[in-house]
Amino acid sequence: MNKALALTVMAIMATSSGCGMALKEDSQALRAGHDRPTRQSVGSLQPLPEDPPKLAAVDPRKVIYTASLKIATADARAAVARTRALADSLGGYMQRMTNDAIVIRVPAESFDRAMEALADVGTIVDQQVTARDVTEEYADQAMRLKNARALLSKLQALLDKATVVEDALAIERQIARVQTEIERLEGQLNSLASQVTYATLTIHFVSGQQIPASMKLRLPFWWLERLGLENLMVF
Amino acid sequence: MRQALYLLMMLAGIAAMGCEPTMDLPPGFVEVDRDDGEYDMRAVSAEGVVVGIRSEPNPKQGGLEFWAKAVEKELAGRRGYALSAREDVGPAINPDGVLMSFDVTKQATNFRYLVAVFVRYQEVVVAEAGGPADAVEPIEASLRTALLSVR
Repeated sequence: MNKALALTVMAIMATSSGCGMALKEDSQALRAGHDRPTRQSVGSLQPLPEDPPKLAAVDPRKVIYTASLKIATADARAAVARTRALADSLGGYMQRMTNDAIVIRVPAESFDRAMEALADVGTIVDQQVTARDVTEEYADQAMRLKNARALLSKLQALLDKATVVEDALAIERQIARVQTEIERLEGQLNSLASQVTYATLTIHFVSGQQIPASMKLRLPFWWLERLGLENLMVF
Repeated sequence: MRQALYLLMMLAGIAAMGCEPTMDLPPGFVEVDRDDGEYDMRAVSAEGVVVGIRSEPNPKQGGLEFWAKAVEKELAGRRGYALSAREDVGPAINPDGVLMSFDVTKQATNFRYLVAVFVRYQEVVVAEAGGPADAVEPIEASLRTALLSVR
């Protein structure tokens, strides 16, 4: 009986870890933004965790926008405060800030407006913008989560039928492992959803002393370049 | 009489155009350069503060505002000098000018740099003073007086 039970558990786990036709269809449904598959209720155990977070159905693609900017300004503190206010006005928030740097998060749909507004805060010396498409990654994680929940349901059903204490303990150990995996997958999905929903902008403010000279227009009067301490103090 | 006066004024103008600019040196400064091809004059103090005058052609007669802005943009916009003050000055015997002061850090040392810009006839006269900030600050008032004494 114990061997039969162990074989049953192994068979359930082997089946649930594969990718069947039904699961493939569910994955395609997720990509298309259709209704999410329902989950089964639990018997004597705690309720299952919540569904994967819903994402905006306007654009089925899941894209993470991030920007890193270096902005020259005369007053870094004021620029930091101004940027924080900008984030608030766009429905975002400040994630981290120092005297001369700030990380803000704004709704993804406000990313372009944020970039335009930052151009008014100072002179953009350098900027890097990335758009990372995580649609496939999100779908894969969601699929793994669905599989894990299905496995959990089956194990719980098996636990309900267990009559031997040793069998019940073995099943509960597997349930605990699967629940840990579910929590991990949910955390990853939540993180992805958060990064997609809110764009992240990292801004470093620098003083005028750090502006590369090569960026500026050079007037056609050679002696202007000879002004300053670099020549005045050389004999 | 009138003709003599006109002749005298013309001669004075010609004479002024041909004269190199000069300034009243601050106390404790010694002249080290005169007409070295770039500077009309340079002088130094024992604390390492330097003053100098240069005059550059201005054949198209660019105005004071243009040249003052060009100097500011060169130093603050391209070379990383931080403009700390700017004032319009009107020395008694010279055309109006612009006096600017800058702060800059080089090799972990803070420096102070003052520059006065004048437009005289068909030339731009630039008077400079600068050195380590801790050496300039105690004598900044006398440096300002010297720069405005350019003639």
